Amino acid sequence: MNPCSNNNSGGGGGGGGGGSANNDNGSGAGNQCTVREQDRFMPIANVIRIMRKVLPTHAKISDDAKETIQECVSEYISFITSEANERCQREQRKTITAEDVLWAMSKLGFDDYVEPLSVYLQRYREHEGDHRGSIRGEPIQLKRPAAVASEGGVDHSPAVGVYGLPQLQAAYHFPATEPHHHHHQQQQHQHFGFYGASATGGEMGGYYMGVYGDPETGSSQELVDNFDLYAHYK
Amino acid sequence: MRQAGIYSGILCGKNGPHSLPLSRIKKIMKQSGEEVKMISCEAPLVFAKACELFIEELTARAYKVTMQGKRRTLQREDIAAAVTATDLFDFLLEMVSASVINDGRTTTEST
Repeated sequence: MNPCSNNNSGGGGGGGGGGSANNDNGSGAGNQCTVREQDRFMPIANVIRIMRKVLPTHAKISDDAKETIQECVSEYISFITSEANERCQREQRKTITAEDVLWAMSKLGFDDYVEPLSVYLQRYREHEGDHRGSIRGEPIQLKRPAAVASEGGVDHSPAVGVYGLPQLQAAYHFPATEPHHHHHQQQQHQHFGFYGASATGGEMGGYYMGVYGDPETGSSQELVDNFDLYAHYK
Repeated sequence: MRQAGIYSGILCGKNGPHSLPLSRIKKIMKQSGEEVKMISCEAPLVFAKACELFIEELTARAYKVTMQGKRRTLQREDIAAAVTATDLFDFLLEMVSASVINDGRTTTEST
């Protein structure tokens, strides 16, 4: 089912550490032998770079805030992974797949992430080429949590969240009068009708503007401008 | 530098050089439980993106608190406040409230 699982674990340590080249706190040679605080967290420079994307340029970040975010990211991964892993065990599977991860996110309330991530994953699979496409390039099929299994998007998870491309398009033919829980969801329905390049910065920018509220329109605008996460879809 | 491998296409191409390291993500996934045996190569990939979204959302919410306090420096307490105010982040509550005291990494707290 998963031809590629785990075959990178051997080289993982060297590859990750060397590739990022920006480990926290000036970690020196002494860290190499223990397993090890450094492995428990994302590289701090990467974390800061991502934080900066949503902050105005004049904003500063205290060191303890950086470390806190770093810890939160690891906690987030563990949180989602545990849920995904439970599902695997329930279904007596040994490998955590991307679908398990998406399912867990949906179940744990991160519905809003599932859609852009599904798009991202779909794009990745398309880029992977035909040989993999024939094996596992089928649309992302994901069993949704039983509690939210009803159709129509009236539950708390996005109606389309975890489906693959064809279902996604079909699902977005819902009329706009359908009830929505998230203020930005309606907008997504309209955008996702044609799915392609429009599934990018615009509406996620709207989402994060929503997060900010509007205490300061200047920074919100800046936020949108800086939000280039999905620029490569274009 | 980073080994070429199954991820190389997306690392060098679409994902850009600034993405979070997949091997690190995988390690953290494995540390989240003894029963975690195998991990599809796509799972860390999804997490790399998800973590970006997560960091952005948490940072944005925390900075909102910073701005409400008419400050410009994002502080740890702003993150704690954002976590407390957001149901979605309930799983972080214990950490943001406890780590000031318990975690050796964050012994200094500036207000």
